[in-house]
Amino acid sequence: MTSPDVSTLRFGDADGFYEALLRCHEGCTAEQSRLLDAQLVLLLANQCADPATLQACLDAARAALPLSD
Amino acid sequence: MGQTARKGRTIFAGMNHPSPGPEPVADGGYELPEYPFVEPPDLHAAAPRRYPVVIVGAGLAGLTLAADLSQRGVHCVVLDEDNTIGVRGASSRGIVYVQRTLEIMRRLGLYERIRAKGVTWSAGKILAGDEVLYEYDFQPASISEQPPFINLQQFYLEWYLVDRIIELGQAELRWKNRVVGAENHTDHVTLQVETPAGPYTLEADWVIAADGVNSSVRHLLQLPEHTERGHDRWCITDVRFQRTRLNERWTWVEAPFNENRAVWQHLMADDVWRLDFQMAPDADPAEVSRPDVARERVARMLGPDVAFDLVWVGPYSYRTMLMERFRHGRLMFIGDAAHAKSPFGARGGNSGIQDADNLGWKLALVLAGDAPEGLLDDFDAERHRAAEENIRVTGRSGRFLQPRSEAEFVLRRAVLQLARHHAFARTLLNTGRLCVPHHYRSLPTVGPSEADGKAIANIALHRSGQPCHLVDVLAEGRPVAFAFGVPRAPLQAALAAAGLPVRVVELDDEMVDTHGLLARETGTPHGGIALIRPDSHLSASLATGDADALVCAARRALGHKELP
Repeated sequence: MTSPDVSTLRFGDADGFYEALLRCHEGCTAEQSRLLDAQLVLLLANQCADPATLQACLDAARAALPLSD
Repeated sequence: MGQTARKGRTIFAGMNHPSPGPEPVADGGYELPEYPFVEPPDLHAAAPRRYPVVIVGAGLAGLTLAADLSQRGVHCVVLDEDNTIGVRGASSRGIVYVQRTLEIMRRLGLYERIRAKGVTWSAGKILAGDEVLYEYDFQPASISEQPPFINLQQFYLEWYLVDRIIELGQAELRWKNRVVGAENHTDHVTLQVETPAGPYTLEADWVIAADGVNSSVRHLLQLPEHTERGHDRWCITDVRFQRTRLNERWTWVEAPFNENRAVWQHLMADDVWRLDFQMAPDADPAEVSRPDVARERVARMLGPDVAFDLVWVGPYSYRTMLMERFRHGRLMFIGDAAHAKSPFGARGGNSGIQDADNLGWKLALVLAGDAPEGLLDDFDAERHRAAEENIRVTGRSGRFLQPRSEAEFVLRRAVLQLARHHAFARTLLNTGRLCVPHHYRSLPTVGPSEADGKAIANIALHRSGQPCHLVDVLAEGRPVAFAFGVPRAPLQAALAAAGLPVRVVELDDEMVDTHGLLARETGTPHGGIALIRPDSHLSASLATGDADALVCAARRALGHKELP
């Protein structure tokens, strides 16, 4: 079974979402932003629901981390 | 260490029934009964005596197996290094007995005592301060004769088991008999035993080690296991106080009165409350169990004006341990001796009891020559996978309750925040997933249907016009083939011709599926057959009444590996 495609653009309005995400973080302390991100991950993951897609996203995020020194 | 339960009166087991049990004493604790040491006849035997079954360890798993075998008419000897029920020191202190356990105890004839003494409950809350994040109730979905849970101090259940074993009169309980040597041979096991009157050696066709997480038998034979120590520290602080009786389980993930660490509050018998406090990872067990420190901790929780007695203080940490195999020829391991885990979800004592329930009928059939020894490999395969699952599930709870990093802590905080507003997030609040019977699906020991391998609840039926329950029908010890509108006689004849000890019961004839639950739970259509094992697990659901298919399923249920 091939891994779900998480590379292809699926957003209708990518720039719009990115801007909304930034706005969502406005006025937050660093600590609040970390919590906000974690809450978002859980909300979005519940919307996505598909275990294979979720795992592919986890893998892709981990793989995209910069190499540590 | 902070233990107020203590030894006292001697109980002359077997001379009166029921025996005097644990008694609350004036300072809030309990006095546990002591059973007398009786010199075993082996001490003066010229050569080692041979026994069919020896069980090492009189804890929940060992005693359940002894009661189960006794009920099946199988003689056994139980060796225990101690002379009392309950456990010494800062060891396991189970309180929650789950539905499957209660159904097993119903079959073993001690459910009524448990129900009368214990606290029946089904609902709980997860709180943040005074705010309820999540409420649950298992009763509405329950179809069993037994309730979802009963809380009871572990020593009461062990006491009832000892009484029942004595009443059945098939097992010899040998207190103060400590196993100090073991040799595992092809067709028997030899044990060296120390007693207050001297040492002796015995031989057993079968030995079941139920001697706890520090199993002597496992250590003596250096059998392979994998252990992982937990770093989380807890301190049980059982107290008795007057408060409105509230049969609910309350859990705080971050309790403001416990430095934002977790706390459990749960009622047991005799109006004793189990309060379990998560401690700082570097907490000193001696310090946190000092009576004045324990009292202060409880006062912070209950408020300064509530008077209470300390009943028992027990600091603990936990470990995860899994033996590579539970069966080693004529030697088998059950309960904590085979697998240990954190207490979250009450999966320790309950799974040990379920090990005994899985093994008892199989061992009895093998001993009677009604099933091949291979049936005992099925015990290994099934209970090993159950233990793997219990360790996986409790490990997730443990990690939720003790985040390992800043990132894990932030994620947990996110769950707590979202849970206030969103239903989906409440299911992520993992304060322990309460023990459910393992579904043996897809193992070669059960059939291929989706329902094959699941435990069937103790549902209501009618037999010869009289109400009864599933465990009553299964108590006899053989697997039962429930035939839904299929004539009984040809099926029973086919099983008899194949030499398979399976009883066929024809629905709508001698038995009535009163609420249609047997058909629904087993997924068996009219004209089909549900083969249910003595431990209430569905072995196979057959879509038709074909006798050959039933014979095939029965052979699999009874451990016949080769094709007929």
